[in-house]
Amino acid sequence: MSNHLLEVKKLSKYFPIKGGLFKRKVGDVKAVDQVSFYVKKGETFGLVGESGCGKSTTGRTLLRLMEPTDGQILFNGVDLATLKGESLRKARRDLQMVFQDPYASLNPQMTVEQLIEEPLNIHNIGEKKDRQDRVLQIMDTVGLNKNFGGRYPHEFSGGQRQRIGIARALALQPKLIVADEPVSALDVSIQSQVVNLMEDLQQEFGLAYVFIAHDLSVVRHISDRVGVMYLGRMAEIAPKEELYTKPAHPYTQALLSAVPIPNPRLKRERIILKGDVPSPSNPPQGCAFHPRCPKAFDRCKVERPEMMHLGSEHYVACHLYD
Amino acid sequence: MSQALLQIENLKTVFENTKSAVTVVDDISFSMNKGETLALVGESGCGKSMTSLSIMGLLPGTGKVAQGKIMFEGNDLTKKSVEDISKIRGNKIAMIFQEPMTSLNPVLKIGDQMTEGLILHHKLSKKEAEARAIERLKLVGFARAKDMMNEYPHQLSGGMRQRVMIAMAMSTDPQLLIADEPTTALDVTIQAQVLELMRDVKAEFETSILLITHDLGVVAEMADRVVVMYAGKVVEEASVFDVFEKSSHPYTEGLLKSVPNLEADQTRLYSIRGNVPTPDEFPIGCRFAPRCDKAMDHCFDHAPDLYRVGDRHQVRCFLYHPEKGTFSHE
Ligand SMILES: Nc1ncnc2c1ncn2[C@@H]1O[C@H](COP(=O)(O)OP(=O)(O)OP(=O)(O)O)[C@@H](O)[C@H]1O
Ligand SMILES: Nc1ncnc2c1ncn2[C@@H]1O[C@H](COP(=O)(O)OP(=O)(O)O)[C@@H](O)[C@H]1O
Ligand code: SF4
Ligand code: SF4
Ligand SMILES: [Mg+2]
Ligand SMILES: [Mg+2]
Repeated sequence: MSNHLLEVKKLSKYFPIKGGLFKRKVGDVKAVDQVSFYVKKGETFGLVGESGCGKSTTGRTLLRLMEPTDGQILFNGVDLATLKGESLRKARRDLQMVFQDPYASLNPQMTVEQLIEEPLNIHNIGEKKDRQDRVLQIMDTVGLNKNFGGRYPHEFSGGQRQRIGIARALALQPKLIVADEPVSALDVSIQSQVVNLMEDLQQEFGLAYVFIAHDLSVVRHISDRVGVMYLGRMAEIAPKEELYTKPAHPYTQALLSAVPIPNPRLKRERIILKGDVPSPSNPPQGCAFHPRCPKAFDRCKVERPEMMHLGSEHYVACHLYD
Repeated sequence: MSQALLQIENLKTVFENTKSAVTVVDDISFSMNKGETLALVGESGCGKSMTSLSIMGLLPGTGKVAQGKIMFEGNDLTKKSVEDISKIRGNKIAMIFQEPMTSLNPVLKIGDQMTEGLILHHKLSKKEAEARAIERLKLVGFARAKDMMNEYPHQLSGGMRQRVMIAMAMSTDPQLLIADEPTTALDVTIQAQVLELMRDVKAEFETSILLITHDLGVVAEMADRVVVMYAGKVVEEASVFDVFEKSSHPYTEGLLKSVPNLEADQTRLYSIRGNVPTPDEFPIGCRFAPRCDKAMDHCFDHAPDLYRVGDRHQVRCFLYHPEKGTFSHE
């Protein structure tokens, strides 16, 4: 267990639904519902799934940018879910976040230098001079021209803005970065630049990543292990090679078969799922995937499947494997 | 050439204000045959949407077609009056957009939106129009098509709205369907549904599809022919097989190599250095030269033409110039 940098146990995040005349709580959006996984030192854990399945909410809750409803977030053995005040602030230095839309997450009134220095100021690190040196060093590390430190975010292209976002996250020398769709908004040719940068930084600083994305090809490339979410729940977790070649969960199988492959001669068997993803405010009984699952049977409608161990590090939540 | 349904010749689209003019689509030519799916690919801002909006006569703001011909069934659309164009649109040419909400009216029921054009342009009775609308909603996979006629767009999910858009676009039996990133906003499992639907529709009605996308997987799956754009220019035009197997332009090659593989592991991704230029900073000479690993001195101050490298395969790159030897060692 000692090499588990992060261990998430039965993490839940519910959002109340308010309604009626007195805005009373009438239900919950179960955005994240008893999710468990771990991340080892220096590895990349990919998190995939369709829009609204709870990837971002999981990421934000890990960093306590949102309060968890239930569950544990053990980071180096300390439960972040219960930390408060100064000890939470200290623990947070080791966990940083990179966002999908680098523009929306960067204050437009601050220069690049100020943006990268800000986390150092907040945590009172070093003298002014040291901080400025550090900023220049980080800019160099992420491939930003050091002469552009006085410029504002809007003066940069999408790919460069994402480099600024990454530089900010790196400033405090974290051990884990949660990257929420960091390349989704970028063009293909720029996307590969940023992916390569993230891999280089991981090598250099021994960083661990939780890499959230809906592009399964990018996730395959960057991850060591991958978790697949569906409707707030973890459906399957496996080392990437295993997940992509031997997906066990019917949802993972459908998801992978749906990805268009850039090879016009390839004719693949495709599992076309019926219908749309249901709303997490009213998830189906039993297995949340059962109304769309081509392999569903009676038990699936009434009983929620637990995570089962299939061997090595392969886990699946599906009654077929019970 | 007589069988070309759509033929674009030297199209140039500009946005002009009092101070300056930017050319966002620069001397584009391509043609589409009946029943063909042509994919227009390229990175954001290269002019894909502006090309399609030029065809539709729907350019935003100060955008206008400054030069060139858009031949549709033998008529030049650039010479048509606004009324004529709007008749062709929503009739023989239909369009679906990336974000269906921009083209669905939020305060009108699905049924009213679908029948409006049929009653107005096709002179169908209300009853006939409704029957047609319901039939097309069924075609795109809605079992409860009749009920849906009375629903509003916000009651539907993104994938459902996109299917409604396709049903609406197909309600007039168009010859040409222009689909601008029709699945970009959708999840992959829903994308798979919509792509299958577009293939079915094409098979049933022999519709030609101009498919705009930046997803090379979608291109491989859907297209017969491909036009690759970079910085407002066509850089390569070829059959889908030639693009993926004999891509010749350094940009096309780079793009294909940059995409991570779903089916195999790679140690490191290829990446094209530098950034995608915006129209006010398009380089003189070959527009790809600042990012091109194969650039020669000549490329930085001369603009290449399209050169033929095979059957219906053209490339805008000096490497394929018939007299390349004369300048490659300048
Ligand atoms: N502040 C909030 N209040 C209520 N519901 C919320 C809130 N934030 C998220 N949700 C809901 O929680 C669910 C999970 O959302 P989340 O943003 O985590 O999804 P995601 O997997 O990141 O999706 P995407 O791929 O679209 O980014 C969604 O149904 C969403 O509508
Ligand atoms: N209303 C407008 N006014 C001025 N320029 C525009 C306008 N709309 C688009 N452009 C510019 O035209 C170029 C091509 O845009 P577009 O065709 O939308 O690209 P894409 O290939 O991503 O579809 C872009 O540089 C864009 O900024
Ligand atoms: S538990 Fe049943 S419904 Fe759920 S994925 Fe497995 S087979 Fe399908
Ligand atoms: S013309 Fe020159 S710079 Fe342009 S793509 Fe060809 S080799 Fe590269
Ligand atoms: Mg998200
Ligand atoms: Mg566009």
